[in-house]
Amino acid sequence: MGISDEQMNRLVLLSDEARVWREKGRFDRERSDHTVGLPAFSIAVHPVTVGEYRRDVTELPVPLG
Amino acid sequence: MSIAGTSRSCPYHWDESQWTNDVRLPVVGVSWYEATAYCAWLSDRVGRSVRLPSEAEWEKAGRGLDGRLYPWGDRFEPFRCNTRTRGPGHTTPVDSSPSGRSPYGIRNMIGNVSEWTSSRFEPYPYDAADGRENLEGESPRVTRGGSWFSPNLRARATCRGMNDPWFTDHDLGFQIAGDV
Repeated sequence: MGISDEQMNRLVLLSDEARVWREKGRFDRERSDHTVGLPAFSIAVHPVTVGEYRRDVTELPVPLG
Repeated sequence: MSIAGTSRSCPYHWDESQWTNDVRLPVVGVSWYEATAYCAWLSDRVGRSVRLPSEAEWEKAGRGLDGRLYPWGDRFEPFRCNTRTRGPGHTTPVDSSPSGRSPYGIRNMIGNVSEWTSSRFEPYPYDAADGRENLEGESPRVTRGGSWFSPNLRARATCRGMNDPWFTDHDLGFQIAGDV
């Protein structure tokens, strides 16, 4: 995960804003690219929707807190 | 009924129709605490673990295995997502922008709403065992994906946002994940 130097430099070639980001160190929080091992997982196909949240929160039997 | 120990009974912005007038819009105005509580409640309801994805999981789901910068490839293409560049200035239904799907078919990972992850904001390298996945505490949590309000550079699969866990906004939602 993370951005490689090559990818960052490619963004800089395409965008003045990216050049400013590099100069100000704004890419630093996502550098550098590294490998991470992950157990198998599942993820929803889209963010939770208004309909899902409204339905589920309405059905809550007790306060969540 | 309240949400996550607050006196609120619904998310912020719930009474503003532009954020709620279509059931297919992503929910916004939910804090990290509330999103986490929702997952815990949903876990009980469905009988299996539902949780926020870690930022590592989010990034894998968004980039696939070839390390691309965006779900669709390596160049920003505004017609594939809802960002400040080309979007309508608000959220759009989650089934919009189908050409922006990730290699795993996940929609809206870039733009529309930024998404909470479970992870505390800590420097790289990512290490799930160093405490950043501890759900206790008040440390800022990582958000990912950029939103309808984001400029191009923030709408990338590697870009890391962060917010305090009590923070809410009209461009911040969440995704759910689970163990296999």
